Amino acid sequence: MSIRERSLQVFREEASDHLDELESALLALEESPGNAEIVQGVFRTVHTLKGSSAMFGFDNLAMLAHMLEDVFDLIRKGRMVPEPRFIEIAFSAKDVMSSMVEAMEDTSDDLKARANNLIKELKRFLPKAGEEVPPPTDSPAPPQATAENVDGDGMKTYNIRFRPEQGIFRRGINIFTVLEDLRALGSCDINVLTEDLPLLEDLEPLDCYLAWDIVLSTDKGENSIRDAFLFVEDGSDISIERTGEHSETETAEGNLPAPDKSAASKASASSVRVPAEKLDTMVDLVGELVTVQARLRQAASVDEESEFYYISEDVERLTNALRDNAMGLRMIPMNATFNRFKRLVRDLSAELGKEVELITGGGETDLDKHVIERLNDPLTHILRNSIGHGIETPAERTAAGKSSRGMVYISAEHSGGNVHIRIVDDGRGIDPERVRARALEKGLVHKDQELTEMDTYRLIFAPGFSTAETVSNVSGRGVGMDVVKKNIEALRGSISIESEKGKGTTIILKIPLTLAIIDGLLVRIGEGNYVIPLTNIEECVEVRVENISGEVNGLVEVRECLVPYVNLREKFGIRGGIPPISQVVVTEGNGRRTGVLVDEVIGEIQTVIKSLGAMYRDVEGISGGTILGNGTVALILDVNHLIQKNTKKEMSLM
Amino acid sequence: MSEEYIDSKGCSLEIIGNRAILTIKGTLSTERAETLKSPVLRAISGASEVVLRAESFRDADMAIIQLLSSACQSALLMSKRVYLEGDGVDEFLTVAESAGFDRDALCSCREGSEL
Repeated sequence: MSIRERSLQVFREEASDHLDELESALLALEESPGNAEIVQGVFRTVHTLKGSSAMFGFDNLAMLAHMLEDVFDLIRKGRMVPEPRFIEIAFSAKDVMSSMVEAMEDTSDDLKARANNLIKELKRFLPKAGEEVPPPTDSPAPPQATAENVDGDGMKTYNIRFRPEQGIFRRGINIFTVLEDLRALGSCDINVLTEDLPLLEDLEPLDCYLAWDIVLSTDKGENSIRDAFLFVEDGSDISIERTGEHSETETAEGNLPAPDKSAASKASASSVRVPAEKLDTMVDLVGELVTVQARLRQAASVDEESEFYYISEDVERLTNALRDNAMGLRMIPMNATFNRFKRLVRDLSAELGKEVELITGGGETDLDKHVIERLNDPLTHILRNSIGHGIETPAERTAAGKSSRGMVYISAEHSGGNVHIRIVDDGRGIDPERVRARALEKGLVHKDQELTEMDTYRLIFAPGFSTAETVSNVSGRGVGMDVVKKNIEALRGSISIESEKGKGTTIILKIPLTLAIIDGLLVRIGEGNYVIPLTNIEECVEVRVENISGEVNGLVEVRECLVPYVNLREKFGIRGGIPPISQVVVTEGNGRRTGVLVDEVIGEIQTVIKSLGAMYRDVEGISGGTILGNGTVALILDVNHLIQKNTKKEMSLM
Repeated sequence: MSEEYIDSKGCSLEIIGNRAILTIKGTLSTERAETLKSPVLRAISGASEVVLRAESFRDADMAIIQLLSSACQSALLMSKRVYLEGDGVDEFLTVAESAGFDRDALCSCREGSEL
């Protein structure tokens, strides 16, 4: 990959982050239009976007950001209030900029036309040439707005030392832009420091050995100077001092305290942006290592007093530590995902004429990046359903004695090796009678079939099911919840519903922390080994063959209760009969207990999941495979699927 | 007279007596700085007068300026001289000067004059 390509990739990632920040900030600004801190944050974000996009040749994007920045400049100076119409345009501008960054181009006719329209709209907020700038409004104007005006009239002199980070050329950053930005602030004397520049023979051409001493006389404040360094501050040494004064003096004068850039630099210098593919490769390699390590342990266990065995123990300890670290690298907090939903809820509630507030909790909960990516669609479906089906219109809510503003709460928390995600709404709840009627109409249940409340809710996940009276682009096509369930189960997770009519609905997702490694119970049936994920297991019970009823799918007595069981020997066509004393592994999934009848429980195992490949993708009841320490393959059981199939069979027998 | 090709981008080195002419094709971008080090070094080692002849100096960025500054220091130590030739040399030097480089002492190279 060329430097240009690498730089563009970095630009894309950073611009996406900035656009996410912008969206969150706009949502927050909509809630508190007078919050100076938010306004200042938006201004800096848009300023950064403008500079970096111009640097990489995205002129249309830069122009749009520039116009947005100009309007935010008025707001931060207290000369304009961020009224709803403007916020709406700012959201649209963010969307267009996101499309440009996503497509990595900003010159298509469509994008250009959308950007130009928004630029025209934004221009309307700016004073026309020759028009007097409106005085500061009485609105709670940001105090930051005046920060630069505090010392605005008098010229001040700053001594600036700028030592860029060594790899700045590799990042495609143009240092001239920084120097030009500084020159634009006032009278500037720039001197390059070449003391560290080696002779050509020792020069690493893409390392930067240069530094600059700059004396700047300007009527602007320190914040404006710092803005010039926005794109280069990571890893660079930047010191700004007013001649003859310490920065504390400025603070005492009422200027903004200078942001703790050194701390920020240190923080950013201590983290490295790594392409996700590289992490994936590393996690795969660690997975291979775990497998090899298991074989090593097995080979060494022949003589537990040998040096070889002790070494294998050390290797195991290190491998486990490496595995835990490697898995941790792919863990990211759910905050970003939750924040994205705020926009969804905002737009959707406006579209449906509802008032909905999204409250989030546990955003700091970490989850594997791949899992989070695959959760986006299911969570979007659930939220759309909560707002479309669940939350009532303000009139309906008022009539029901509720606040006109509905609430959707989404939270995440760790629970063992899983993350539990709850989506709670205080809407109308699910009406079991309506669900049942709809299910009858669709032929999903028999007329006389008895269903528990839980069974009734589960019908919502049936393909094509929907209770919406009208089909809209929000809900009502019935293609949502069955896809949600499939997607969650593909993540080896489960979904359950609790609801109370008139009070609201809670949807609970239980998702494994990672897709790469599984804690399981190794069992044997005949000569084959199988792994049952521990998250699904309630208990293991020894049973005598006489306590088992039914040949294929029947009931087994566990602690004086009858539990339906799956006979894998029959299901998978394994030769041989059931041993006189067998084991039942009692599993739980989707609110149902089901036993899995096995010959022997071997023990707990932490294992790396391997895909079975395209040919075996559709094998029912198996979600993957793994290689054991002795080199043999064990299949990983898809417990949710087995339970589901067993439940269907039970129902068909009713 | 001897001529040797340096890289696949069409950069060529020609040495005639004490004079080495390094002809640089294409733009002088950051990436070019990496591939230019070796031929510039060979040119300085092989002759007392080195001409760096580029199609255009207009796209030269800070990495190129740094490379030329380093080359200039190396040449000065060996009492050798470096010349720049090509489109936009003067603008290039003006830009370098605006970034604080001393035109006369460090980058005093004008078209056909010493660096």
